[in-house]
Amino acid sequence: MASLFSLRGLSRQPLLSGVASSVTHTSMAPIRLLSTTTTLLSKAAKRAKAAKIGVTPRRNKGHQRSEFYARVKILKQNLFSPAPPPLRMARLRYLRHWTIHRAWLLFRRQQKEATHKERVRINAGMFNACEELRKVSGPGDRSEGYLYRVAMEKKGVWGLNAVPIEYARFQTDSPATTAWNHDWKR
Amino acid sequence: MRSLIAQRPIMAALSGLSRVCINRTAPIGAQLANSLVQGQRYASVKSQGAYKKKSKRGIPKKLGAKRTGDQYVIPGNIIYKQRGTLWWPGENCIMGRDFTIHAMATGYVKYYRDPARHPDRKYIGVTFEKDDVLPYPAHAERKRKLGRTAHQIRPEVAQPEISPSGIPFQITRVEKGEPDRLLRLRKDYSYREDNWRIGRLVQTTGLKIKRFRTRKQYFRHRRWRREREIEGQRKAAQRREELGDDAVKVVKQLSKKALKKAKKAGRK
Amino acid sequence: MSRCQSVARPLARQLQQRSVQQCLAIRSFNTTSSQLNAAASAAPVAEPTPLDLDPNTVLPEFEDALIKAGKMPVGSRRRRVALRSNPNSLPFEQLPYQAFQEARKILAADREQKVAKIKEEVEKIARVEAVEDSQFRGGPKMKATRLASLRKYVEELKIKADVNDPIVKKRFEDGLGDMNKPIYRYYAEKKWRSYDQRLITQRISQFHIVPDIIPKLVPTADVQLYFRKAKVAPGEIVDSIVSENPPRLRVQLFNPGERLVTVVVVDPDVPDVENDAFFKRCHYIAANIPLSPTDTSLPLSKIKGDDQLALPWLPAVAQKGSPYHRMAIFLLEQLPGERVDVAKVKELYASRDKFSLKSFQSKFRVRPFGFNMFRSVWDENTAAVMARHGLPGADIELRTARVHSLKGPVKLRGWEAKRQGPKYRQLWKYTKRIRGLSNARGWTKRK
Repeated sequence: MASLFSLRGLSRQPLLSGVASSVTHTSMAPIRLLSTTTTLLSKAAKRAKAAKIGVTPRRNKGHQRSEFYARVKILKQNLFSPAPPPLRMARLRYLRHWTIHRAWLLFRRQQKEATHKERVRINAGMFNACEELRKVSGPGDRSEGYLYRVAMEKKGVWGLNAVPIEYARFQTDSPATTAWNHDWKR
Repeated sequence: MRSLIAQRPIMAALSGLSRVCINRTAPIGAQLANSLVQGQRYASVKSQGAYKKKSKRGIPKKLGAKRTGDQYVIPGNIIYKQRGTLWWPGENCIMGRDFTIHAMATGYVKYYRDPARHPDRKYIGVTFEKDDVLPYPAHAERKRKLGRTAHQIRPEVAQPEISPSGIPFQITRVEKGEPDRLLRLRKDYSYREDNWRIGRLVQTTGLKIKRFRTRKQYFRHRRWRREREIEGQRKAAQRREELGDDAVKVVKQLSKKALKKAKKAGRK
Repeated sequence: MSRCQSVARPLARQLQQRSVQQCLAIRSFNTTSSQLNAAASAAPVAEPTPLDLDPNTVLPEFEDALIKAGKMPVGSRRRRVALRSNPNSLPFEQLPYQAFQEARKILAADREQKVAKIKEEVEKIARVEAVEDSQFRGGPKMKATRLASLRKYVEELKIKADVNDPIVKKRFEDGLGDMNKPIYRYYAEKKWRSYDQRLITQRISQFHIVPDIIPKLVPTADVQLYFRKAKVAPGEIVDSIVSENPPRLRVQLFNPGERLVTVVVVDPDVPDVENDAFFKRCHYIAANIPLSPTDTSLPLSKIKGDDQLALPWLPAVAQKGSPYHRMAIFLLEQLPGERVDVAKVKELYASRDKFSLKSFQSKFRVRPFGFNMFRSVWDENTAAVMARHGLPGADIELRTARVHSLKGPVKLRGWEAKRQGPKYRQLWKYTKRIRGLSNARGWTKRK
């Protein structure tokens, strides 16, 4: 429901951008249509100079929007929008809705249980393999559990003789505003 | 405690002085700054005496316990006066608007704690028996007193319908489309409705006397009305500006009735 | 249109309509006054059609007959009329909505799983039961625990199998649920716990029922109170003429099986003027009443059996000036297969006063499980009710006892007070008869 509700403002978006680019006379037209003023007023408006009323554009065209403009806009819309209205349905429709809702909950639960089961299976498989390694001695005259110890080593996981990049950074309480400065040169 | 705090700066000053004595080579300005930092006050300040003065005595609030434990109280007696809730009302007690604790029964005052009710609170209660211990055991029946005495109900004496002078004590005035009204004989032999009945008449009319239920509602309405007015005036000014000078002619809004009248007049 | 035509037209129309109405049994909506008059003059005392005998489609005018026949009309009137209009519509579960049908498939598959699981568990129970007590690992005690937990799990599964069924939900909401089935009992309990249980728990604590009458009470059944067909909310003040006759209880049990029940009504607020205290009075005792989840109605006036009714209903009355009387109605469950000896109850509690529910409970081995209450105060009908039932105390009024101040009398002060005595006889015209302070007999104002 909330995701549907968040689409509210999107229909307005192309209209606004069109207004910004098009000629000002047409941009005033829909506003005039909606107004409730008398005919006298509209007549007078026709007589008034066009330059006086409409030429001032709403947004200057050269204004650069940041690359996150669209995202910020949607975020703002969703952050400050009121809660969606409650569902109002007749009895049978509500029952159908309820049925679908219950089925959806059940379906998700089954999915979750299935993934959980799969993960448990994989984890158990890994555990059993490690146990097997731990009990085995060899190859050659190696002692028992040699293969297990080697398997548990994390060497080379992040590169040859390397440490994870997280440890190369100075540890701070909170993350930096920019994750990594790629342009940096010595 | 206060005296200790008061002595603190003096001690600090003393230590500052001693350091001044030892450190002969330091320049005088530096020494002065040092002593100032450490809170030394000179005789000129001390002679004013203001910082050592105690606060003046205000009006005593006379707070505290008015009844001790096991003391006999009757309903309404004040047991404890306090600011805030040092003590809470327990058995047969209530707390007044200013946190004063009053007795609600005749009995004996008990100061106690009740961990089952609240772990930290101290309670004041009143028991009927002096030997009772508060809190009462949990799940025990409450101790209550009736506090009433039995009296015979007096049978209602029938009021004679006719007064000694031969006229009825009360008559009903029946008016069509109006509620019936009971008029009673007065000392001056006139018939008049009771004042309290006249007061009740307002309810029968169904009039709406107050437009707003509360004062708050009225003020909110006034604020909105003013805002609307200002908004309207602003819009009117804007319109006038848009129309320019030639459109100053104002078309007066006429009601339908007035229009009809004008039309009729024009036809004649 | 000619003149004669315009005169004749309404007449002709009326005639037409009358003929139409006569041929149509179903009354249509009236649009004109003439038509209304025609309908009234015809006065069709309609006969119930088969649709009117069906509780799903009965019209308001045939409701009473149906209720008398023992069938309660289902749903709202509006719904019933809507059902009449299209009796051949599709049943709810076949409605052609894709998402709905897909959802039903998912739910049906889940139900299949649950049913298979139930079968499995039942087989497991049979296997466990087949094992001898001594052979079972952990002994007979462990076996009993194991069986109990398995049965509990089966009950849970039974609910889970049906809990997603829209038809079951619909039937429950229509009041057609069969309370022998666990799913409907589950729904009923859920509904009760959502409001009524909380309300009754609040009443128990706020009216101090729990320390005053009984040390512990956790209601597990829904008990509702009806006086003269009208439902009385728990704790409501009931007029004494209304509560003169015994009420009807509607008891909904949430656990299966039939059991015997004792009903006790106690008033813990009878004033005891001599001791300046209160005592409890028993207003009603009936025992050995069979109750099950399916039969909910328990009219106290209908219980007349010699081995059931111990103390007949005593009307709830409050003396004038006494604080409100709480009439607490308890439902107590008897041990399975045990009957309360009513003769003994009659003998023990012949005088209804000084009743103790706690001792009754321990004497007859009963456990409280349901509760409801109402209150009664002195009203204009109480004296008449008391006279009708020979209850004393209608002519006695209780007044609040005056508690005198702990401080002694204060000596009067002031010029007038000093000059009240005969020494100042010449000043009496100034010192006596001061309005609000004194009269001819002396000083009247206190303090």
